[in-house]
Amino acid sequence: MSETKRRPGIGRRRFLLGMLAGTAGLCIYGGVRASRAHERSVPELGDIEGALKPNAYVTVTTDDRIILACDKQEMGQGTSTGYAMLAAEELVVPVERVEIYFPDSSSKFGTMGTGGSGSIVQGFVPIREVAAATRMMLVSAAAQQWGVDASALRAENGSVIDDASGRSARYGELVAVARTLPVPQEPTLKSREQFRVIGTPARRVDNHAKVTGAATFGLDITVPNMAKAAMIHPPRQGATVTSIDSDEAKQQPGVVDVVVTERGVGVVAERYWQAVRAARLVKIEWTAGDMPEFTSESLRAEMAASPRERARNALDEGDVDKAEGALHEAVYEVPYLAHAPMEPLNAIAHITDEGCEIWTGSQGPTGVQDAVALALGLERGAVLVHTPFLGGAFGRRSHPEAVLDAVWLSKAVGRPVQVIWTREDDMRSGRYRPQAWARITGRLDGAGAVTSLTFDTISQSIMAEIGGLLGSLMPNAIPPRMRAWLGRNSARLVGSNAVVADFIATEGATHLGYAIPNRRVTYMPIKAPVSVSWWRSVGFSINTFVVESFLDELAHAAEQDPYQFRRKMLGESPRWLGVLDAVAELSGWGTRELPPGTARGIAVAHAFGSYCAEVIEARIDDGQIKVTKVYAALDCGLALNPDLVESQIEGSVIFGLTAALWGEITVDKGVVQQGNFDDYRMMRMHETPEIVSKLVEGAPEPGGVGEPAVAPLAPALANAIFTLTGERLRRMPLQAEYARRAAASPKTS
Amino acid sequence: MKLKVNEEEREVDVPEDVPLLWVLREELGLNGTKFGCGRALCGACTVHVDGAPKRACVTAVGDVAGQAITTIEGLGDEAQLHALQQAWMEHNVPQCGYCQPGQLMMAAALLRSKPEPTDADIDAVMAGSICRCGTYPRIRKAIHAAAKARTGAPKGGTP
Ligand code: FES
Ligand code: FES
Repeated sequence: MSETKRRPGIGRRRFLLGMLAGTAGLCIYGGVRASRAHERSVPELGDIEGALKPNAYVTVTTDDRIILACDKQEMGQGTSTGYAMLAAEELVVPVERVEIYFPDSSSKFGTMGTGGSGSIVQGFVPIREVAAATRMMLVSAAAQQWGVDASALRAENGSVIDDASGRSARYGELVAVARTLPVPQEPTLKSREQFRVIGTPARRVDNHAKVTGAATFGLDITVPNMAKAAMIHPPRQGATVTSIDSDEAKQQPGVVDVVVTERGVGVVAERYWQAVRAARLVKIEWTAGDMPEFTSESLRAEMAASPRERARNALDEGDVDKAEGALHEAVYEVPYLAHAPMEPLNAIAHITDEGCEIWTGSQGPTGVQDAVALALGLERGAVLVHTPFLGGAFGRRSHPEAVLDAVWLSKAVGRPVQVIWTREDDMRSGRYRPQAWARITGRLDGAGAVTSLTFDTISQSIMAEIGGLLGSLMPNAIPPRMRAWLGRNSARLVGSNAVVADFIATEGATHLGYAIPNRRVTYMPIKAPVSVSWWRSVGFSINTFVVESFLDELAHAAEQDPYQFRRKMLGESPRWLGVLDAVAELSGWGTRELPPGTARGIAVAHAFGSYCAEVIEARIDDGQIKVTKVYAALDCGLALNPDLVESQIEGSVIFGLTAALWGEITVDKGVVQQGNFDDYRMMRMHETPEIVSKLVEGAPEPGGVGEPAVAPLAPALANAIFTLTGERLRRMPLQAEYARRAAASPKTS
Repeated sequence: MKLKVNEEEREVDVPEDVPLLWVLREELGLNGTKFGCGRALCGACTVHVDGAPKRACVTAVGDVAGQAITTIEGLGDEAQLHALQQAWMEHNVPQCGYCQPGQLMMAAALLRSKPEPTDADIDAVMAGSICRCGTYPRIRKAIHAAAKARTGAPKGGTP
């Protein structure tokens, strides 16, 4: 059904996520599937007696409400506004007329999950189709009532109009007849020239709720008879309780119970503040855990010394061994990073005779269903997941750890339980962007052209750690244990590097637009007792730093301007070149003088179906790197809502700079050293540079928006610092690396 | 203990040293005030106490009994949103929205003391409020716009 084609250059992970839309697309007109007979559900906003509901998404009521199920989670990226715009376009109503809700987990929507900057890419055709089909039914209903041909009628602002006779009827008035009509199987979509909503800077549909405090996040939900819980997580990964003294805690007012779970200890009370207070009184001895001597510093050394025999090629073009020219080589490193979404992780679980009900802000409701089903020995359909707004996610909310905490505690106390992680739990209890090490080499011929590029990287495999999530891509027909087993094993297979390299680990190094005749990319996984995850822009956040910094090194070695140096290699890659030229012009590269003491750096990337180039202007104030300006050119194809695309660029810039300058999670003797915003620094208002962005439209359909602009930031900044100081910073975070260099070499201070 | 929240008298039965944040959320059902760090590091829990901004996560409820507490729910009303709330919507400020109640309460306190704040004024006051989604550039624009809308409005007209 879906016409969204897979375009060349889109990474495999996006294809994987793309399949989700395909699954949903199949169900749009398919009616109830057999497997749904056993699926738990409760009435939702779109279930209204007597309304027109021709598909899982759209509801039109007799009193003219237009309601859309947004089956993607809203974590700030603006997808719910985008989906409202797509529906408004085809239903020919103002965007504000579309009421959005986030449906409960259901196989009606296939696998429910949000990531890979894929929501608009995946929904662009199907959401318009479901809306267009609904509109056609309303138009047909009017045609039938008036005894005219449907082609003589048009829809406008929530009504069907007959221009010939001047008659009109509101959608609500047509619902009763429309309900009796067949659902069009091939709805006709508006052509580009007819768009009136798509491409406009519409207001967000969630603005009002979010400025009045009315928006409901997981933390804000209360269900009857609910208890609250604080967790005491193991101090080291894999540590379990050897002895516990909870007598005093249990005596405290409001305390319901203190429960040892599979992953720590839960203190359950009537109120959260009571649970937090009582938790301080629990005395626990822990086992040593998976690797009590592990430090992130020793992992650096281990990576650098690793033999490469298990490395596997992710890309091998031309023959790097035969390439000629002067050899350049460098080693780059990045640390673990936490996501630190503003809303700490939390979840409510309620176990009943029929199954389990969950309320949590998750990026992957189907994955949550599977994780809970597996924990309780249930079918997927026996677990019902309600999804409110997500208070930030960035990849972290793909994983069900807090949900499982709530499930174990609800099971133990026989009541619905809400678990709220503290900021320290959130930062110390797992899931980080992997620490990574990469060696990169390149050859420059006498004319200063790059003849070869090799890239060898080591990191923990994210794929190897997401077995449960892969299982959630499989249909209900496969029994839960089988799904989990298949998911785990396919993930392990990729993670083991035995068959193919984990493509996430090398994204940003493999698909390059540069005309470099000989290239090789290899990946080798490494094990460490730290759980890893997707982190906004994922592999690109690591590898684009390495590749784009190193190309800058080569440009300087060839004594060429870094923009022109890249430009020459991008003749065959018009969209790469398009954003590079756009950002050069926007920033006055080579034409506008900078104030003394300020320098600029440039970088470009192709990620999530889009292209982004950035120029950063920076200076050093008192030994501190100060970013003064960021220019970004993004080609995301068709920008559904240019204002929201720009807000994603701004957010990406601040997120990316925060990590590039300061972001670092370190582990010492198995213990994460950071815990809150005083030691995991966030960029703040007064540190935020001026951000100037420009959209380039290199394709008629949309590409990803939430992540691509993160990728080029770190290298653009490192490149600016090199021009400014002559110091090549090859290790993130850059501020700490700059300080180490400045201490070692008097010339920089 | 008696509390005055958003111009209403409320009675709560909790120890005096419980953080105001959890009293608002759990005892009074006012969920607009958010928990972000619990240690006065992020600003998500900002409320006004007698007009001054306070971090509710580190404010003992006993210390503010009897004083006028305003939360995001009391910043504007349905009929008339605060100028900042309107400017926030016009500039598409919120992303995930989780930090925004705290940002708005902080900005409202700023406008009270400085009706026409400079960029430096905004930096000084808003630096304590983290937005992980990175909405700072729009917050800045919206504060300027709200200041303009308020000071530029004809004086003495019906509110
Ligand atoms: S929750 Fe109070 S300042 Fe962060
Ligand atoms: S809007 Fe998400 S943290 Fe500010």
